[in-house]
Amino acid sequence: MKAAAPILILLVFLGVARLSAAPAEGLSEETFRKRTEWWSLQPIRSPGLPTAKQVAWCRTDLDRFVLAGLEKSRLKPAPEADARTLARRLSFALTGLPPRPEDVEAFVRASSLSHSPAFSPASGAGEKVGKRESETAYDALVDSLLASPQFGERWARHWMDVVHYADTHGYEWDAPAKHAWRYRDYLVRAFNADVPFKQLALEQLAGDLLPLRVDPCTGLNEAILGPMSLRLGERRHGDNAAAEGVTQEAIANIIDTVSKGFLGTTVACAQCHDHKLDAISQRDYYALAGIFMSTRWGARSADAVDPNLEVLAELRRHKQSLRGELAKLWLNSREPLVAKLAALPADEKPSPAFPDSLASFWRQTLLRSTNGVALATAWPKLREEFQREREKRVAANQTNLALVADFTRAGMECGWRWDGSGMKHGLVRDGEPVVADEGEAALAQLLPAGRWSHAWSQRLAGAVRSPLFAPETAVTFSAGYAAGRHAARAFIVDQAFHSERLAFLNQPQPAWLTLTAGNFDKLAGGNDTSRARRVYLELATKSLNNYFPPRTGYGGLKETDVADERSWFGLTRVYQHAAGKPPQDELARFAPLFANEAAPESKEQLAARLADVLLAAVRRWAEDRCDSEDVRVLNEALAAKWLPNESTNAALAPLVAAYRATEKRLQPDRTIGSADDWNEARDERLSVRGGYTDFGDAVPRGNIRLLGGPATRDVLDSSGRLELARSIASDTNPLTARVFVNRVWLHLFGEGLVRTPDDFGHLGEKPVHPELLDYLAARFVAEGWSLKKLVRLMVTSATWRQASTTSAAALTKDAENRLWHHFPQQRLDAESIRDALLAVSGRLDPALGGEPIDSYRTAQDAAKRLFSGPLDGLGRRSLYLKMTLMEPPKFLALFNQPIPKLTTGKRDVTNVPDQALALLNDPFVLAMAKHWGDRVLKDGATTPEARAKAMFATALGRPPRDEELSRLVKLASRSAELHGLAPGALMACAPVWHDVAHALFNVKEFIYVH
Amino acid sequence: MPAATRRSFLQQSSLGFGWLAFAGLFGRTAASAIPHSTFRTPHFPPRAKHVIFLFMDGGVSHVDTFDPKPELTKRNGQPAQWRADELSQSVSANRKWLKNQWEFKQRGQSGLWVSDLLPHIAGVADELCVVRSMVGETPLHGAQSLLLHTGRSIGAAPSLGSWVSYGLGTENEQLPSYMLLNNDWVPNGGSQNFASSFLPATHQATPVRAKGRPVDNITPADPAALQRAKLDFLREQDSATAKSLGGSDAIESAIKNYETAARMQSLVPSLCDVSGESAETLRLYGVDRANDFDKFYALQCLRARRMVEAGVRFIEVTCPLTHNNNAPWDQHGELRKRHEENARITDQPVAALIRDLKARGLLDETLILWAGEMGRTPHSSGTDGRDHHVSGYTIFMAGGGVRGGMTYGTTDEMGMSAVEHRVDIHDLHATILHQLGMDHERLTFRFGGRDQRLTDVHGRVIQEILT
Repeated sequence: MKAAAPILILLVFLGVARLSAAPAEGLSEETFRKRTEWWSLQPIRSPGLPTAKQVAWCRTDLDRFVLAGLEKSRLKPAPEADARTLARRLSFALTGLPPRPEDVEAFVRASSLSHSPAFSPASGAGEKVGKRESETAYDALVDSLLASPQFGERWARHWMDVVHYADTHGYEWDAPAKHAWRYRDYLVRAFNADVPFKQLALEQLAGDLLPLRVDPCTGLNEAILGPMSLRLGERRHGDNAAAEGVTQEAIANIIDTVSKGFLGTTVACAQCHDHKLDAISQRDYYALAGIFMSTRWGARSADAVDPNLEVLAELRRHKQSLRGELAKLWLNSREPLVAKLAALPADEKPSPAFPDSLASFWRQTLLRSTNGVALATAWPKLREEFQREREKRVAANQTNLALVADFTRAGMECGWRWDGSGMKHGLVRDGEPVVADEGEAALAQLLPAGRWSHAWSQRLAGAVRSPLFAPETAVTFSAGYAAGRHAARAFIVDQAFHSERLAFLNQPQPAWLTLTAGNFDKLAGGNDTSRARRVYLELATKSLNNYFPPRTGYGGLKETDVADERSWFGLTRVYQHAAGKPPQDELARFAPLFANEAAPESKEQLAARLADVLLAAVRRWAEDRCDSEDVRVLNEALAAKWLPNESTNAALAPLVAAYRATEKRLQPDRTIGSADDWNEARDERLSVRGGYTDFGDAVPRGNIRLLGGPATRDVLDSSGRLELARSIASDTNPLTARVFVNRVWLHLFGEGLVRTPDDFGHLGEKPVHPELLDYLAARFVAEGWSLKKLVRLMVTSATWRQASTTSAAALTKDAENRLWHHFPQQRLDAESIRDALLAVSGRLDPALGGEPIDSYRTAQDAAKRLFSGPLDGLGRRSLYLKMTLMEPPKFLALFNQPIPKLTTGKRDVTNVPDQALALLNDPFVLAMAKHWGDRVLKDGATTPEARAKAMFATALGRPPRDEELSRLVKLASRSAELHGLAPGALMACAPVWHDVAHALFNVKEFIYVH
Repeated sequence: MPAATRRSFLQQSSLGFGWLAFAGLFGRTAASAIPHSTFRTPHFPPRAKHVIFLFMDGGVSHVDTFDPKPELTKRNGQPAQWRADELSQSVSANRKWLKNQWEFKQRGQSGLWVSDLLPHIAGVADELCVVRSMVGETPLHGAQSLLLHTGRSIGAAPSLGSWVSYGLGTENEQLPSYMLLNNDWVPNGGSQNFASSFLPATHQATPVRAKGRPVDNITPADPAALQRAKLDFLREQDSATAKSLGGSDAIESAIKNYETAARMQSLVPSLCDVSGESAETLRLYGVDRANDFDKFYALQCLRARRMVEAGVRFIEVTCPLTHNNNAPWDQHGELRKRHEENARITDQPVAALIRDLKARGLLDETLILWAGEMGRTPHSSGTDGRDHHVSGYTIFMAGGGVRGGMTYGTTDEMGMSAVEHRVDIHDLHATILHQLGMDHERLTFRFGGRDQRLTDVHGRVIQEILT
């Protein structure tokens, strides 16, 4: 529904002729060749080290490049920063947290042990020179910070800017990004374990298509957590059939993120036209779109190691015992059973259809036999009716039904697929009992053969997904199912990220779910006329349902239902049939009633006959040889309480209790919104000027041309995502390593070597040190794409260790510090500011990972699940605050945490009065000042000077100079005065130390690193 | 000055680009610390200096307010039909035409049609420029709200207010140039609606709460003397730090921010405090009304005028949500009750704002935009509700160099589709920027490999409605 026409008119009007060349053709050979001469597209070469004079200054090879540049401009590097400055700089750079004062002082002592002149081998030619003590101390500090778990948190947060991490999808209802936090924790683990970035890139693009990578601590398949990176950001609810463009918008966002994030290339603008300057054509956009439009976006189970095998074995034993006890009880209950049946009254009206339950058979038979008096005459008619009806229905089913998928036998799903541990352990034979997990019944029900997510527990997950339905024809089919507790089904149209076609299923007893795929109504009115929709069916329990929870109140959903982890469904068989001809009940369970030629002569005889049919089913059940008709009969008996099934029954109670207790030990599936490739790919048609109605030809899906174009696919109809991932995560790709290395440089040095980290194209900035970038990229690749090695190389360099002071000469010649003649002073990022407040005040909880914590809000909006959390976020680091896209955490936004919709390689750094107001007046800052001020009362200090000195060092990583100390002590005295205290009472007065803490938080040095 | 340096300076400066542009525009002394910078000059003389955007969130029914349809009344209750390109949301198949629910009358000297739903606004009909031919893209709140605010139906683009702030800056260095008179309400599309996105963060909206503390962190946490003591300590400490670093622009600028912040602590509350207004003014706006919703909306409208006087560039006022619903004006049901309730809350203050600005000679330089993100269907699945509709709906403007007492554009006889002078959101944006002296094709910011515009590649200034 984009108005395409006005664009053309406008451009014609302006005399712009770009679009008049047929856009579908792509760039001409000549243009393409010319554009690929661009610097960033040339292979990475490992350059030789440049010559320089003052090589003694160099600590690493990278310094040679910097020094050569400086000398060329007749500039000198700044002197090395002092040890305390370096300790603080290192701590924030590597962990995002301030150093502890005692660690700083230990480092200062270790560094000062030797005074030999600074020298280290610069050539890297293999010459071994004994390191100075200070070098050892510095290296040791770097290594300990690299090894700390906070390193992973820090660098995960950097990458989260690239993939624009958010826990929700924004738009109207802020729907959750399905368990995105598992992806966040995956990043933390990966950076801590120094997983090669090449592997991380592969996993984030196609982890679902890779061999498992199992984390030994959690048993998670790390690889499948990666593709969440493709799903983050704003996503609309609904699908293309509801409003054309929904999926395309999401795909454009994915292409933008992938191309900027990994390749520093802007491809998304080629949705509508060829790139104006770069070697990117509109065809490239649609080649990528074809990949992502051929990818399913379901929730996946990430458990690589089944954590429940032992518990399940125990449950199996309990269930077997229970089954044995129940069988005994039931077989011994003929008398009360007959009595209960005999007590049922007759129906008042004859039913036109043959009865479908024992109870209705009884009631109808009584009605037709004058309450059993005329059984002898009624019975033969009934038998005849039964036989006729049965034959008719069997014949109809034989004619009408085509088996599409069979879930009663492993491997017969015929292209439908299941997921989740409930389904994995849920392939059952007829008669499998389900133990009720609460309440007065021992058994909830018996299951017919099939795959049931709740065979052991409703807390285990299950999903079943169909293949794509053939386009153009509407297919009607029926699935044997039962479901409850907000298990849901949805038709997924055009790989929609958020379906509003979700329907909750509440069907306790097995039945047929009859559906027609097709004829999707357009929101705009009228029928959807597109013939090319991709449509599949998904049934899922809550945790494997990509779309759960939907908007608040949807389908009567309550928030208590959202919190309840139980959910269940199962399938038996799926039949395709003509519309209006669903499977019919073949009535086989009634046959034994008529097996005896003789009619029952009385009501009592009839009751006995029904009871015997039931007990025969019980006997078969006890011997584990019952069929689905027995299951139906027995479920009726259980529901009607004809058979003993009380959890309080003396024989059953201990077994039920044991089962229930054991069931609670099951670990529910750890699921996440991921990707899935079903080898059902289609190429995307190029859409003229980005509209949704005017299409060109189909573009072969695959990589962009400048990286080799569509590859030969391993599987012919696969999406091509794996091949794309391989070509991005490649040693020979000129962009991936350069772009990543530049990001790391940017995070450590405040600016990149390329200062437009997301754009290495013609509209970006060229690097001043292209050889240095290549040197780093080549070394990064050669050293196995190790982030930690790269960081170590950079932070041990003389360049990084320069002081942040600079000379007038340097500023005149190179005001922007492009030659790196000093270390640029940097304001802390939003997370580091908040984390430093927590750390310094002593409120920091260093726990790693877990579900996000709601951020503090001045007003809640329950309808959008924008809940307010604790003021201090429970002391957890900022990356664990819930990133609600509709309204991200305000304190962090104030300090330039970006709204997570687009890739942000480099954050804005503003310097505005609002920030001053926050540090002066924000309740969180005040709470931290109070927390810290209260703590120092117990520090054992006897003088204000001693306490102020310690606080200063804690806040700023260095002891105060004399005048600084006296200034702070003066503030303490003034505060005491204003609080009406005698000077002597100051040490025990909490408000004074709240004020001192508060003032230290507001010192500029607190939020800057030098 | 190289672009990058300029950009980084602008990001670090508390006032941002807009302020520089403003300094250039109105001849004030620009920050002398910035040598060699080329100031942006306005593209042409502006007609307006301020915008007040009255956001009718959820979508007001156009056929019940400004677009009378006798044919709709005639066919009331008959089965409705519409074409596939008419973008309304059909929530069920059996839909019937639903006549206008409030009587239309011609008003003022101009004879402009306004229904009885909005009697006060009807009283200023001669000031209104009613556009009946608005066309949106998608009949969904999130998409339309983002489109109206940012010119894009999805994704992260700067808000209209941010663009205005970026282009013009504020007349008052002590105040943000884009203020949002809100009450912690997050509309469809999220806080993105008011965000600066890729423009420097100085241009995002500063929200002002109706009830309670007007602006977060604006109330001093400390008594004045104590805060003074802390500020004195900080100034000394930070100046020494800056000096020890051989001068630091960032730290010096941050020091200045503390002084500005300290002043804002009194300035912003006094701007929001209407106790000094005359009883007559308070009554005119309805600040004296008993109901909280009524009172607070009136208060926000009055504050909007005060902000215009104080030099704020762009002011948005949102509607309160009185009941459990997606958005205030989103009446799929209870149309009569809830539209009347919303009208009761907003009608009088909006009319008062127009009158008051006019009386003070400020209406000429203040462009008022009254708009929801969509209209509502002329048909209904019941008898007391209308659904989402974007292929033809109504907004109005007033002041700021637009012609009063006129209507522009028409919809068909049923109010379904704009059939004459179709206006899309980009046209509206282009026109607003034009009135502020900016060419929407030249107000750009480089991001993501493109020179980005509010109007993307669209937009036409609606010359026909300008004076």
